[in-house]
Amino acid sequence: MLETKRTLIFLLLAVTLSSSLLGCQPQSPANATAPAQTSVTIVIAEDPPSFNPVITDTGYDSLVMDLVMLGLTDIDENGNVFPELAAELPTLENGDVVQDETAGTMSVTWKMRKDAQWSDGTPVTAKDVIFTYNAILDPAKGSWIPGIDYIDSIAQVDNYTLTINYNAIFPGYLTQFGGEQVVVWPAHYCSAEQGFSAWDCAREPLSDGPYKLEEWVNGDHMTFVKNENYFDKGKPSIETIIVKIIPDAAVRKTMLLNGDADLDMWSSEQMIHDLEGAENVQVSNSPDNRWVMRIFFNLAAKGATDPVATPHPILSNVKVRQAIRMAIDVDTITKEFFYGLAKPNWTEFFRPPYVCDNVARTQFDLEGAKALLEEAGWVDQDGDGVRECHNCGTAADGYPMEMEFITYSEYGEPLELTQQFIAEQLGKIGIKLNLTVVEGSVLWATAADGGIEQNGNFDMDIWDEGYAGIDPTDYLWSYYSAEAAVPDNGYNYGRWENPEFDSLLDEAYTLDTQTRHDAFCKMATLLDEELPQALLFTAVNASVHSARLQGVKSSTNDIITWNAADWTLK
Amino acid sequence: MNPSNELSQPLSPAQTSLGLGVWKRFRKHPGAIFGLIVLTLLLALVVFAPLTAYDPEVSDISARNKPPSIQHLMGTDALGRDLFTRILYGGRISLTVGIMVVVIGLVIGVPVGALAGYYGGWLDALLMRITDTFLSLPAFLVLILLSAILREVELPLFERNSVLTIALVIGLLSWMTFARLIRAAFLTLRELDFIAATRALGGSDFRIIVKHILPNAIGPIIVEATLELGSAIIEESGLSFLGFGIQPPTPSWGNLLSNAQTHFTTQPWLAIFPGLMIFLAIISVNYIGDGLRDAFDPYKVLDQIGE
Repeated sequence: MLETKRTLIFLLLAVTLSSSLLGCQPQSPANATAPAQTSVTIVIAEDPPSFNPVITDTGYDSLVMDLVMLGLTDIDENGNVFPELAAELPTLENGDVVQDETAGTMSVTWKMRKDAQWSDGTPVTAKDVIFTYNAILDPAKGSWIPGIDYIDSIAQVDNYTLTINYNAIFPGYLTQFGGEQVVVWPAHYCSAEQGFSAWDCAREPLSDGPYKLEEWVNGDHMTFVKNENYFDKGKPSIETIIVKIIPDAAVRKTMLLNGDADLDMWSSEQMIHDLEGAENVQVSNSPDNRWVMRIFFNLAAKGATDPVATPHPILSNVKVRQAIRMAIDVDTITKEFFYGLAKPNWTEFFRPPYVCDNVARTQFDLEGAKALLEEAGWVDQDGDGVRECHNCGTAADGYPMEMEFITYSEYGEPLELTQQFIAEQLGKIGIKLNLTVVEGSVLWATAADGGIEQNGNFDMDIWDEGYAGIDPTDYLWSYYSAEAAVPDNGYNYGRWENPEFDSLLDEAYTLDTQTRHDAFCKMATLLDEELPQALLFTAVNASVHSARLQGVKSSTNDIITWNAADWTLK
Repeated sequence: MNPSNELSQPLSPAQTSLGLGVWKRFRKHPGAIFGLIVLTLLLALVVFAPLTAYDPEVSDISARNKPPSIQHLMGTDALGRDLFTRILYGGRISLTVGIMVVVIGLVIGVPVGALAGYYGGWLDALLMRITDTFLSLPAFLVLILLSAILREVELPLFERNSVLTIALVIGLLSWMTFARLIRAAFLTLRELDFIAATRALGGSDFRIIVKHILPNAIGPIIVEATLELGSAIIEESGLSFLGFGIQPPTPSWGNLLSNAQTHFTTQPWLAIFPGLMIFLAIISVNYIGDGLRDAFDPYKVLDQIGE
C-alpha cells in the first residue's frame, strides 16, 4: 500500500515537474509574432516608455520613434544635416534664413515636401509642425526643446510652408524640429487636451516614417511592419522589424551568436570584446564617439550650492584639480578596462564640425601631481599617507585630503574598475577617496527629489556625458554657464562660474561658423586651465549586428535606427 | 523509560551539569562536529588574514584575471588583486554582519515573541500587530529611504557604510521571523503540564519563561538563526547596489559574488570561491545548529538519562 502511494506521488511529481519545465522553454519567434520572410530582430534591455524621447529620454524611445516618425531634418553619421519632411535645408545662401544683425534676430522659412503622408493617408503639412511647437510650448502640459525660448512666433505661409521668427540668433535651428529626439506630431490625431507630455499618440503613434507599429506586448516585444504610405516608395526593403525586450546582456549576446537577434543597441565594451572574431556578427562603430568619461569636481562645499560663500575645502583650488587629472593614468584605463575601445580625450571640442586642437594633453605624472599639491598647501606631515591642509587657503590647517568619489552602477564593470583604479592612484599622491556606487536615478534625480548632483551632495563624481547632434551650444550652456549653476536650472553641478566663459558662449550664438569655431576653441583653453571637469576619454559608441543585416550605421548624432529605411538583408 | 528506574539510580555529576550534558550529546552528532571544525577553520583564516602576502585593495594591472596558481591560490580579479586575500578580508565583513544581524534579531525577536506567546491577550495582539507592521514594510524601499537619510544626516556611531550601520539596518528588518517562531513555540509550551506544575510550585513568570519554556523552544530559534546568518550575508551585497552596503574596494563575500556574475563563463573562479565560502559558512552553522538542537532536545535528555 505504502509502495503504491510512493509510486503515485513520484509519478505526480514527475508530471508536474516536466510540465513546468516544458512551460519554461523559450517560445520560438514563429509562435510569438509570426514574422514575415524579411524580418529583423532588435534586442533591447527594457521597454521604451513611449515614442516621445523629449519626455522620457531613455534612448529606447528614440530607437522606436525613428522607425515610425520623421522630423523636418535628421543628421547622418558624419554630422551632415539632411532633410526628412523638409523639401530642402533653409540657409542664408538660398534666402530661407534671413538675419537682422542690428536687432540680433532671424527668421527661417521651411518648405516641406508634399508627398509625405501619415499612415492613415492624411498629408503631413505645416499645420502639424505648428501643432507640435504649440504642444511643446504649453506651460502646463508641454516640455522644453533646445532653442524653444528663442522662437517668437511661427507663421503658416501655405499648407507646406512655414516661417519661424526667432528673437535671437539660434545656430541650432536646422535640427530644432528633428535629430535624435524631436519629431513632427500629427495635429489631427494627437490630443491637444491631453498635452505633449502625456498624450496617447506617443504610445500608439500614427506613422509617417518607414515603419508603423503593429503590436506592442509590454515587456515582451513590439512588431513594426512596413508603412505603405512612406514617401520614399522603394523603401524600406525589410518588411518587418521586431523589437524584443531582453534585459540580460548575456542573453542578448547569445541570441546574436545563435542568429536569433540581428541588432543590439549601445553594445557594451564587454559585448564587443566577447563577440570579436565571431563569424555571424559585425560591429558598427560610429566615426566619432560622443560620450566623454569625465570627473565632475564640486567647487562648492558638499551640500552647499554657492562656490563663493562656501567654497569646497579641497577642490576649490584649481591646482588640486590639475594634480588630480595629472595623477590619472588614462592610457592604462582605456587599454585594460575598456578593451582598447575607448580613446583618450581631454576636450569638449573633439568631433566635427567643431574640432579644437589648441589644447595639449596633460601627461600622466605622479611626481608632477605631488608637486602641485605641495604648492597648493597640502602636505602629509603626520605621515599617515593622507595629506593635510597646511596654509592651503581653502580649509583649516590639519584638514585631511579625504573625499567621496561616486559613480553610477548601470555602466557596469569597466567604470567601476576605473573608479577603484583612480582612487588607488590618487591614494599614491596622498588623496584618500571613499568610493560610492549608486544607481543613476539617485545620482541624477532633480534637486526636489533629493538628487545627489543637483543638490551638490558630492565631492567628485565620474560618469560619461556628451552632446547629441552637431550643435554644442545648449549643451555648453547647461554644463558650464553660471545660469545653469542653480539647482534644477541646468547641469552645472560643480557650480563653476566664469564670466569670460559666459561671454564666449554669447559670442557662439551666431550663424557665422568661423566665429563659432573661434569662440569654442577659446572655451577649450579656458576649460583646460580652469578644469571644472577633468575629461578623460571617450567611451565606445557602437552596435553589434548580424552579418546578414546590411547598412547599419552607428552614429554619434542619432540612435542606431536613424537609417532603418536603408537597411537590407544579405 | 521506567520512572521507578529513574528514581532508583542516582544521577551522575555529568548528568546533573546541563552544559556538560549538552556537550556530550553534541559531540555525538558527526555533522555538528564537522560544522564546528569548518567554522573554526574559517574563523581562524579570517582572523589571520593579514598574514597573506598581498594587500586586498592594491591592484596589479600585470596580473589581471589570472586563474588559480601557486602564487594566487584562488586566482586574481579584474584589477589583479589576489582573490584569496580578498576572500579572507571579505569574510571578516560578511561574518561580522551575519553574526550581528542574528544577535539583533535574537535580542528583539526573542523577548517580543516570548512575551506575546506567554501572556497572550492584549499584549499578544499589540506585539503581533507591531510585528505585522514591520513585516509589511517593503524592505527595499525602507533601505532606499534609510540610505537617503544617512546620506544627509551624520550620526556619531552610525557612519553610512559602516558594518555596524549595515547590520543594524538589516537586523531591524529581519527580527520578525524570530518573534513569530518564538511566539508559536510559547503558545504550545505554556499549556503543558510541567509549566502548570512550575506555576503551582510558585515559580515566577520570569523564571518560567527563561528557565522552563525558552530552553524547550531552542530548536526553532537555532534553525532560524542559522538561516538568517546566510541571508544576511547575501542581503549585505544587495545593499551595495543602493550605494549603501560595503563599498568598493573593500571586499565582502556578497559583493565578491555579485561582481563575479558577468564573468561566470570566462573566469569561473571569481564566483566559485566566494560562493564556496558562503556555502561552507552556512552549512557549518546549519550543522552546528542541528547538533545544538538535538543536544538541547528535552526528549533526548530523557533518553540519555534513561540509558
